[in-house]
Amino acid sequence: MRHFGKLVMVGMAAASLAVATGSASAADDIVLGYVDDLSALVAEAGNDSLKGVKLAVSEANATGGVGGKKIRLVVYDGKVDTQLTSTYISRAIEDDGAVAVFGGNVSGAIPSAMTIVNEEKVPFFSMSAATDSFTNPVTPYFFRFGPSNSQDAAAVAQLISEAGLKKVAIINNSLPFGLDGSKAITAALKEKGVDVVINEVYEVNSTDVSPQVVKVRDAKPEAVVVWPYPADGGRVLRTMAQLNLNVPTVIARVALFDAFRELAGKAADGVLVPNTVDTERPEVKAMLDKLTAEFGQRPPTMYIAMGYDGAKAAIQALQDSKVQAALKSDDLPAARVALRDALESIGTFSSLQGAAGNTLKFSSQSHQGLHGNNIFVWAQVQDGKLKKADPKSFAPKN
Amino acid sequence: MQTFGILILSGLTNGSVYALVGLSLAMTYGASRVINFAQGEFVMLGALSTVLFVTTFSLPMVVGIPMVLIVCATVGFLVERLAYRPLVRRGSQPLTIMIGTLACASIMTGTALLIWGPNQLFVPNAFSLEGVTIAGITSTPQQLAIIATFAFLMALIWFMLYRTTFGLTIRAVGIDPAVATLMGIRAETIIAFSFVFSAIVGGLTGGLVGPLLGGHVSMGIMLTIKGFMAVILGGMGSPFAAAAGGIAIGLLEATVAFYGNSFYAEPIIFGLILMMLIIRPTGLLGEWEANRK
Amino acid sequence: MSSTTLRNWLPATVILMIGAVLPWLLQGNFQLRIAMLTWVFAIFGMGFNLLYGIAGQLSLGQQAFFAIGAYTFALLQIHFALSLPLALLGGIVVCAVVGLVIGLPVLRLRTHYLAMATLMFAMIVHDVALRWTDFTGGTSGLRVPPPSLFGARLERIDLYYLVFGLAAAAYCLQIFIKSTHLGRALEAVKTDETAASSVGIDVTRYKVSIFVVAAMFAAVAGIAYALVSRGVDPSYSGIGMVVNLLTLSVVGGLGSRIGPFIGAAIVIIAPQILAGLQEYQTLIYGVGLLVFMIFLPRGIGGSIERSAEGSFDDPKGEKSARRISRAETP
Repeated sequence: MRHFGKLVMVGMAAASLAVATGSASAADDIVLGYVDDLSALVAEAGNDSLKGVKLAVSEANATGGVGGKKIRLVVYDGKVDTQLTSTYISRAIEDDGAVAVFGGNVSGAIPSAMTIVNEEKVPFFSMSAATDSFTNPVTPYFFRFGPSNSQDAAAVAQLISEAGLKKVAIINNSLPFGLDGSKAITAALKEKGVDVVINEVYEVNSTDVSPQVVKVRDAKPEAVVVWPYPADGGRVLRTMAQLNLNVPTVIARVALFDAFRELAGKAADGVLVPNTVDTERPEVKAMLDKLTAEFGQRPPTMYIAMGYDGAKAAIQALQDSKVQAALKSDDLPAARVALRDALESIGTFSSLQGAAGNTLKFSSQSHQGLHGNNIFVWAQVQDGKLKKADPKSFAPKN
Repeated sequence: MQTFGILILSGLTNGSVYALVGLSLAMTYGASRVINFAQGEFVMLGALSTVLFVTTFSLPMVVGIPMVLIVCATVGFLVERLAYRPLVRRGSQPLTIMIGTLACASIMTGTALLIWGPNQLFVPNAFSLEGVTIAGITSTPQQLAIIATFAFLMALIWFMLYRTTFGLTIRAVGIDPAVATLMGIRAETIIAFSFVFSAIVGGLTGGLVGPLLGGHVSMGIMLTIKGFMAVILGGMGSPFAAAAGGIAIGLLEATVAFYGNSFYAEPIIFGLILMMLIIRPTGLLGEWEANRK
Repeated sequence: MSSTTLRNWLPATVILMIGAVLPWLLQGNFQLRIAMLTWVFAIFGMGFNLLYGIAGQLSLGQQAFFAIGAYTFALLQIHFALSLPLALLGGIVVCAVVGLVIGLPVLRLRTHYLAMATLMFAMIVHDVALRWTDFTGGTSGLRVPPPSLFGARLERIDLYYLVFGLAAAAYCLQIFIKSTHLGRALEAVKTDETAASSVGIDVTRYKVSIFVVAAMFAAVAGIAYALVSRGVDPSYSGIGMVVNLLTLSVVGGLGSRIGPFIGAAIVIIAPQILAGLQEYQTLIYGVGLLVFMIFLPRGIGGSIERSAEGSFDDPKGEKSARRISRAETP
């Protein structure tokens, strides 16, 4: 038995070596890599962006691909593991010959991913990871398609200051998303002359968050900003309702996910969510309908739109003559550099994020695609559903 | 005063969750001397199979919850039979057995991923999630049910361990399995029982906290660590010590978050536990175990 | 050449040769990266192996030293513009000091209590790394300047040999420690602390020394990792890191000399092999690990050394395992 076991192990080891070394790639395709969390805590965002990318790629392939070549997507699940994500990115670049890599919903994994793509000179299309320093200062090959923390924060601050509210409380979880978000919002509110009366932090696995909410309530804020993950966001809002903390509330983009609205129940009614997806725009509607047909019903999250925007931009940049020339002569490194240049000189690129007519703009000075005041479209939760909100509804309830 | 009541209640709620994970870790540890890295996964399994039975199969709660417990008991049995027992029989080192349970955690997460997918899910609630106000303090029946379940389980375990012959055999195995075996006790059966029992407690915990925490395939590991903390603070000697540790952490969290600094609450609590361990090397209530070593 | 010397240096020679020629066998930076990560985790594993495999002290907090070493290394270069070797030295020294300060009180604890105390310590380090943004850079961490040695910029291949050199040095140090009085005393401590102290072994001193040594190994590993990923972030002290460390130690073989190398290679390469399985990979990884543990409870390194040396492997370790982890009917 023992010897049999050893034999099995040796066999497995040998077989795995064979698998590891035998990864062939079809040279006729244009390869795009996608490395993101597809199974752990940020998986819902990761999978949404992937669906957006897939949709854009299948649209392009349906019309014959780019320059006669089909686009092939190679997908790796980096989980929320920094090391794994970086290694998969490097694998997508080398083994699969990806001309560009998508990913970046996990902020923790970005810094070392950034080093790799800049060193290997491969454009990276980053999604929702919002830490400002990722695109400021600009690094040569890193491009972001989602809003940055400071953009999120600026929008929240503007909403609050336009409503004439002067005292705000922030409550957030202690994951990087919550900590970074609250920091950015505090800074943005300060700029608008709004007072942050209290900033409370809770741990994402706390079944009861009432100590923090009591403190928030006792600070008597005129508005509350919640920066959670979906499930704990539900708990915070429920607790706020229980403790009669009934003031205008803004909650981070995670509230777009179903789990948040189901967990929060009626407590979520009326809260505002900064979204970049305007479901009333016809082209957005068309894209979401196609997505539903292909992958089933999804809430209209910004993650989908980011993936779609990113892939569309990649496809447009791939059509650039220099990129095409490099691809024709099978010069992958040159194609990547050319793709980057094409992306920087793409000028304005019509985006499915933001208000109608919003564009993505990249240049050698800015790799933050979204810009200006048109990025956010406020969504409001009503009876467990999302609808487009009127920011003017953000006012004290009597 | 009202605020203080809210703090206590919040501490008890969070503490009960940690205590439930902690006491099931301690039950397994008591019989098998193994820290079960898969313990938090049973909470995950409990929460997500509630989704399966109650939401997907639309079974009523009174049928769904027993089904959840049966699933968890079965998986607990399998962990003992397919991982723990073969490893012990081959004379593995304790750490190797621990990694064996870690492999089980990975298998459970992996299977759950295939069944439920990676999204966070809403877990249907057995009790109301609407607030009720008692003596000026607002809570929800679901939350109170967690505390009540914990109290009930404590009483049940006490009765089982100290008022039944079966409990006597469990305690005998806990002290020395070899001697217990000489006394005619089937140590292996007791160990298997401890795994199954802990799995059931885990499943029940999952069904109860699911509606509040949400269900997610990767929720297990952090709960396991919370359970570790409870066990360490209280002492690994008995489920009661572990439960006390869990409640203490819950109350500590509420107090530090409210009176102290919520931004640094987590590291402060880790620090307090570390300091407590240095002062009392075997946990608050762990003398009994230390003397035995 | 005595058989002990052969036993120690034959694997060393083999590893040295493999490490030296590897860059010629590998294609491209991805495979080079895999190789470097293997060396990094081998160093990390060797420290743990000294601490647990030989001295029997279970720490679940080695990732704290991994992170502290790497953060110190980065901070010294950023704020004081220290050269690479000096920053490396600084990282090691800081970890040794922290290891001493933490080790002194914590090592009074035994078995699982020690494990949990060290885990608490690591979680404090992780939480502080995440929160003390001004000092640690928060989520995004710190960037390490492009590595250069004596004024010359290090290319990928130089970096490989630097990391490999560190691993080779760590291996020699590991062998040296095992063969000294310290190593033998530690074996005695592992078997029975009371007996060890009754024959005049200063148990506390030896335990603290090996804890500090393990912290220094973790520091070197963390710094090497920072060199490979060109930065350091809070994930260095995360739970995932210690799970990888434990897995590689057990898979390689606790107490085995070559175990950390084999374990590290498996832990780094396995996810790459399983990647094609998409959503099945977590499940298959778990099943693979469990089957592996059941059929090779001593790990690959342990089994190889055992069959190569006949009666090697300590029966004492096995017995103490039985005592702690429960045996079936005698």
